[in-house]
Amino acid sequence: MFLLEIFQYDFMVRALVVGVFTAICTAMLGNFVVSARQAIVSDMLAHTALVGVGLGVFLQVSPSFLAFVSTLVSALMLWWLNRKKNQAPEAISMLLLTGGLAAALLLVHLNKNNPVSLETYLFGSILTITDTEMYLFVGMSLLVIATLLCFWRSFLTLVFDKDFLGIKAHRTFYEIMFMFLIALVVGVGLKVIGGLLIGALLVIPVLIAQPFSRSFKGNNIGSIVVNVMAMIIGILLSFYRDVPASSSIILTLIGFYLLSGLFHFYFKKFFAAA
Amino acid sequence: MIKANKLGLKLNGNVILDDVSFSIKKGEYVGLIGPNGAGKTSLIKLILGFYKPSKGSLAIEPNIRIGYVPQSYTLSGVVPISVKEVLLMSGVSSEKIQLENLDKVGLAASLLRQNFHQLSGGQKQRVIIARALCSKPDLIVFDEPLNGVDFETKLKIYDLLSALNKTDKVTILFVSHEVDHIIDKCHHILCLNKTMHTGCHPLDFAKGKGATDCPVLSLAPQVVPVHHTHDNKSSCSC
Repeated sequence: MFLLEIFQYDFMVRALVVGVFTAICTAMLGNFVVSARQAIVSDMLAHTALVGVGLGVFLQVSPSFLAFVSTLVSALMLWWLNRKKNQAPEAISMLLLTGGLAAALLLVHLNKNNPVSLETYLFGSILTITDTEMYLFVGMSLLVIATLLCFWRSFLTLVFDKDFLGIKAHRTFYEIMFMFLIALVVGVGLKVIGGLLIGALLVIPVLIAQPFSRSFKGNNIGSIVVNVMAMIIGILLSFYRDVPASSSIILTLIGFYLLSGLFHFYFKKFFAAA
Repeated sequence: MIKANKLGLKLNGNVILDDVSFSIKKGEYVGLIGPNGAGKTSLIKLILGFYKPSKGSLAIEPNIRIGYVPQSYTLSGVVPISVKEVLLMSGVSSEKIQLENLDKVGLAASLLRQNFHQLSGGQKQRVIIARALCSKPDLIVFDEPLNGVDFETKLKIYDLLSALNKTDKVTILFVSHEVDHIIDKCHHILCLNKTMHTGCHPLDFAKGKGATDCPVLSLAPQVVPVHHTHDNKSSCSC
């Protein structure tokens, strides 16, 4: 069996394990992010994470760890600035996004002789994940999944009707926790799929599942299945066709999106009646 | 149940509410009217605890459960969500209670697993009322909930609220532009335009006479709720 051949390679096993967990947590969180209309926020945080990467390279500290820290700081800054409500949230996101990218480029330029490439974090490098990173990323993914499951109802209310959550619970607590989860997922996704592409794992599976679901839970299950399938197919394509894993994963997802559109077009009567 | 005394609210340096006093007793059906920008939603947010008063006091009976039916429903139409999941937001996961409250607002049990976004405007609003009812509230605050709902459905929902007030003894605070519709339902109506306007008939207030034409306002700015009787005999004292 030629497919079993990949399990002889440790790097492929690590890529598949991390890929599957990343696919599950991004699909789950993606449903909340899209419902809250915060897709651009995930993109902004991924870009500001690059400041942490640049700082890590400059200070010779783990870029992944500092990426997570800078994402969290940016998330809190965004939350605080949005609370003031003086400026458009998208404009503030754009300010942080471009500022983050510019600062990252500067930091990497100041330390251009360092072997760590910014490209690894811009476009991901799932096939080069180490054992330590695997345990770290799986742990972070499990934390995201467990938190979403434990506080499912509160997050559901937060993204669909935050005023209603405000009279039931401490809304600020859940808003900050939501930002923390996005920061965690971006921290994982930076090495797996890249800062420029992490948004795709959050958004595209939600769009694919949407026409076929009648409930939020159903949409979650659908998007998890699609994301895991695209992740595995993308990694296999990368291995057998020697193409960048990030691009094969995202293009597989886009392929699924087009196929689901065609499928829904031809069978929409069935779904309307269901 | 609620007593506000000389309540004031400032947001970003702007005076939103000033010198607002009123009281709501248990079991009452109270209307709150006022033009756009009058501070109606801000007053509701004060009652719900989103804002803190800049001055004055707002005493709310401790441990009362407050239900809330928002202005324009904020559920995004992008990602599907079932009626059951909308009701789950109330914190009540028992399907029996969810079905009881769907029945109370006149919706069929078969809708429980339907996609909320595919319901009509009137059905959606009934689901939101059912969600508020699930937690057995002592007070339900309705913030202009019938904007965009057709006339016939509006009348049915007004009747439903009256029935809830009479049979379930739920206290209701109903914010509306449409004085004509609520005037026969409410025990009394509060006329708000940054401050609480007194001494004017709600219909006169709604026509814009309350703010400037009422000498009572300029002479005596202290605020007392306008008590309105069901037989519609209340009149403007201007």
